[in-house]
Amino acid sequence: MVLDRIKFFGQRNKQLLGMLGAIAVMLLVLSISVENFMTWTNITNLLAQVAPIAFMATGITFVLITKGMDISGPAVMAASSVIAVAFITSFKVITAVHLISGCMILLLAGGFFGFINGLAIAKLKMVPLVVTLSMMTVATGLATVLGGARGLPTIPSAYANFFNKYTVIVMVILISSALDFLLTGTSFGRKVYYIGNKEETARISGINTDNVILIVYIICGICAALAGIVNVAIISTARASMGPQSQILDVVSAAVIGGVSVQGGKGRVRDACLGAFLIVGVNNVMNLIGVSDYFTTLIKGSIIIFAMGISSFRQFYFSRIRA
Amino acid sequence: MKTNKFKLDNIFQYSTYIVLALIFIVFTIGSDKFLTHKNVYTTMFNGGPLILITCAVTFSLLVGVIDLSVGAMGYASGCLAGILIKNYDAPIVLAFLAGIALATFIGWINSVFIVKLKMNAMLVSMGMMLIIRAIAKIITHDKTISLFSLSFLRQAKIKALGGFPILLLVVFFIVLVCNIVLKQTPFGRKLLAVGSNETVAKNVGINTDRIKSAALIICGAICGIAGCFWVITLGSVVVTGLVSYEFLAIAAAVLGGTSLLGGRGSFYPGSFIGALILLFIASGMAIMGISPYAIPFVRGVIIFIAMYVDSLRHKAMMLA
Amino acid sequence: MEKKSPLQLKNISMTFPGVKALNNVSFTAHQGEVLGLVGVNGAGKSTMMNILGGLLQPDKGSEIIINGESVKIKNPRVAEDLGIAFIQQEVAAFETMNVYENVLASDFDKWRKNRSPFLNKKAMKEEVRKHLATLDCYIDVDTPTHSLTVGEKQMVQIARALSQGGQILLFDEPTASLSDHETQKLFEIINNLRTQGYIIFYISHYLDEIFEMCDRVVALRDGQKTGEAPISEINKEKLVDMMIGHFVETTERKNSRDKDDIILRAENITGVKFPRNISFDLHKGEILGVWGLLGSGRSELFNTLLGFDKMVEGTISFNQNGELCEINHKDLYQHVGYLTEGRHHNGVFLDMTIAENITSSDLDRFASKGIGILNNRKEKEESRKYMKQVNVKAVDENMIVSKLSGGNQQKVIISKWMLKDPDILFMDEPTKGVDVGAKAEIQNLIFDRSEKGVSFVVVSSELEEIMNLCDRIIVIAEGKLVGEVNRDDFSKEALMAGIVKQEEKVENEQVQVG
Repeated sequence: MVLDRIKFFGQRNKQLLGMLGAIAVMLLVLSISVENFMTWTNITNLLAQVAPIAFMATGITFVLITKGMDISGPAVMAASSVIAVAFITSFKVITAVHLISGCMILLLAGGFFGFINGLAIAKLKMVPLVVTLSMMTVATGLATVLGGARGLPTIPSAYANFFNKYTVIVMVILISSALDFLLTGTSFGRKVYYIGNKEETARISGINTDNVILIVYIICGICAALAGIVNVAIISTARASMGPQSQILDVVSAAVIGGVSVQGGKGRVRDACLGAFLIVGVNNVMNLIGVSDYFTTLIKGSIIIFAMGISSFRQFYFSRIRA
Repeated sequence: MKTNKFKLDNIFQYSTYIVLALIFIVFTIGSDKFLTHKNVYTTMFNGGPLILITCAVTFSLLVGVIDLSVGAMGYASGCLAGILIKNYDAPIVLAFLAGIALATFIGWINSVFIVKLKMNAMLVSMGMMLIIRAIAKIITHDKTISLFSLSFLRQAKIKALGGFPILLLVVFFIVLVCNIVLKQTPFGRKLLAVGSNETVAKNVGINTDRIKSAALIICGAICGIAGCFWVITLGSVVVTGLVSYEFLAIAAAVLGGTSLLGGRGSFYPGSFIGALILLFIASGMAIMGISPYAIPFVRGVIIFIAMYVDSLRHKAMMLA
Repeated sequence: MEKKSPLQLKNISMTFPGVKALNNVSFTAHQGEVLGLVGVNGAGKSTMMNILGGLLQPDKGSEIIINGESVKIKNPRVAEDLGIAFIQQEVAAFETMNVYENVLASDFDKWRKNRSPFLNKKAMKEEVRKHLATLDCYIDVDTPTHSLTVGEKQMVQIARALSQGGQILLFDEPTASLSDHETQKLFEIINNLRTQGYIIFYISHYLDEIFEMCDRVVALRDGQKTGEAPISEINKEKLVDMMIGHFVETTERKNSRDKDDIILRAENITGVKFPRNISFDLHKGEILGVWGLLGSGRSELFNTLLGFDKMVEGTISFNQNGELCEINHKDLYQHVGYLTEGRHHNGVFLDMTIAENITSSDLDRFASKGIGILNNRKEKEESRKYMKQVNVKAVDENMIVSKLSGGNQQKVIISKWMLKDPDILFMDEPTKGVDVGAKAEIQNLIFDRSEKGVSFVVVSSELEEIMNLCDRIIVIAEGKLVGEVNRDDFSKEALMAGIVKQEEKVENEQVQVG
């Protein structure tokens, strides 16, 4: 009985087990190759580093499940951060109230960018890739203009002290579990899967698909903003370059490695976050072993292609079985 | 009913010309430096790589594949040519051929992943873009390679036409060839057929995999030419060369009426005019002294509008 | 032409993982005959056609002999070289391309201008005009295909088959999407081709068509050949017997309801193209049929009424608490279910479980208030209940829907709407592509529910079915309401009368304009 349960769980969570296995291997490599790796500080540092990518991967998981695409994540993250920091630093004396309202503005801005994306995609029926592509250019442009030539001043260290690595880790765990539950345990989440599986059928079933898609893109924008909150804490200010356009690759590949299908209808936030852990972990392995940044990019590129290969093979295999 | 729709189609067909004309009118009124031989020629000459890459990406879009590695392939080609000329004193022609060969080869690798192994095109080409950029950075040690020996190519001009750069003829020639291939040859029809409906194409006996692979390889080759052109126009190989050209090129192709879903599009007027629209907007704004930061803004908005028009066109087609 | 070129199929088997789709099927086709291939869904007809068309590879030991030579049809190209042309079930066209490009799509290379790499467009168009002329179809060859009607696209497809110069033509359900008029035209063409000596395979669900068109039939059941006979030697009962082994009786509707409360009143419903100005009333517990030829605007009527297509004009009133008051699409949809025509297109979530499919029509019932936490246990219990009611044959409610047969998928969709328990259920071709057994079950279910006060609006292409099922039938043609027939007056003639009148009128108009 118990054995059956375990077996059933294993069947339903192949992706999770695979991810955990890969992460275990990665940690093993790290602890062998780097002396004193398995210290509390190192582990918590690593977890905190994962946060921005994990947040954005969470957001894009929603989008990918609806068969959508959002490549504006990092740009939106930078733009909302710049807006918020510009707001905060516009006051002479900065108090906690300003910082808190700054955070609010950051989240609102992210949600607003997502709202625009969602509006164009859900209501105007435009192609997600191109919509978010133009959003990416617009947001980067906005961040550059607002950031000014000399850059924004830094914000008080109270902010960074509050969003220290422990807060960030707790945030990631809490928010991503909440969103994972939203996706798998609620009617809204189920509707997201319905849409990814077949939007037309979902509409016929009486689901307001446009609204669900709109909300999904708003969630994605807010997730990018959450990543912004963490990143602002790290550099104490905000600038356009904090969200390089290529970072979206890390985000998408985190989700894809976590088993989220680009074809829509499949995936979980939990696994995408583990994917983010893996991607950032690989970065760290490279860094610690002393591989140059460029090689790291190279290896990451290969990982994406490899992960894609696995998922397309799996699809091919299942389609053979089904035919 | 039918006549009405044809009219609608016609308006869409000429819309690119209309937009380009509007841009010219607005900027000519805005600045007397805009409509000069010099500005028009320089803009087109410096925009040569964009025009070519747009043509390249159009090939992949026609068969319904979004190739995001086009900018990187061009960069790889230009980079290799530059290194060969600078470090190994290779003859210029040979160096360029090597560059084009390299880009073609990368196009082939893309086709293996995307067509043979059926992987998601966008992610594969994105990964490919990363890999190419990374390798190039490792090889060039992140340094600019200056190539003075190419300046004669850049300066070759036809006096009679008010200083028309000779190399621009190459761009026109390639656009022309692409157009003929698409409109006059069996291969062109097959491209359209595969993009229009792959299953049907397969069922009527078209070797869809081969056609798609060919489109991606040709896409690589044209990117290679674009890369060489880029090296000539700039006179050096910089690390950030052709960055984000993939997005610009796709935007230009879409502006020109190429469908992202495959099966519809053209090189002339399509891609060519689409690219010119983006180029002259940037040039016009620069001449009128508008902040360079604003250019991505305007571009983003224009792409957005173009896409909206495209979706309207799609709807009109489906309703008919 | 003099030489006979029979096609022999020997011991054809085809194994999909877990299923034997064809098991040692052998038969011969002769020149100048139309060979009907019949069987219920999943009997293996389409698999056989796909093997001949080169889309599937049969198991080892299978042998196909053409003109006395054993051949292997590795892909569609080889099939074409062997003179086999395949006209598929779904009209398959390159929507973004022109008519002539569509017709000649299978071999563009042939059309080069004397060995130059360029196409000879003039010759191409000439050739296409020639083929279209033999089909008695005069479409402008430069027309973009997306603007053609379904029937015209079918013609384009047949022209494509002819242009391939094949001697063996495979028609897989060619009339599925044609109007009666177009069907007649197609039959003429097939008759024509028969006299020219083509070998023609003809697959159809409609037994009438088989009797009208075919010289001989081969019946398949569960991948095995269950009979082969010249059409003149058998009758309908015999044929059905070969197909399903036993003759299934469908129950007659016993007591058709009296007209009591009106539950829905539609007035002047007008869409962008179709429908035009349609009004009707629907009574509680009534089964209302909507009859019309394909392309007459039946599905469009549903889509416009329910708000999926734009409604240009019209008012909808719905009976709420005994009063008929105007209602918008969104509120109306709370009270209705809609079973669409295209099962795979928009009926099911193929990659999701049966339970998830069934509860999709009324998900909020299983969700808590506020953030909407789903109660999975309740969801599964309810799904099981409805699966049992509708008799869905599956292991359990966790099975993925794509693994079910077509009929069972249809039953899942019906369970889904039963769960919502709507006041009105709109059904567009509820038994299309469903085998005879499941068909009867679905009909009985409709009867049963209507007894309990659910109203139905049903579209069906099968006259017999709609006449058996409905209390009242409204007839539409060209998007307009052209007649209404009560159950007592049901007859084929009565239903066709309105349509014929309408078609004549349209043709007269066209003559006047022309």
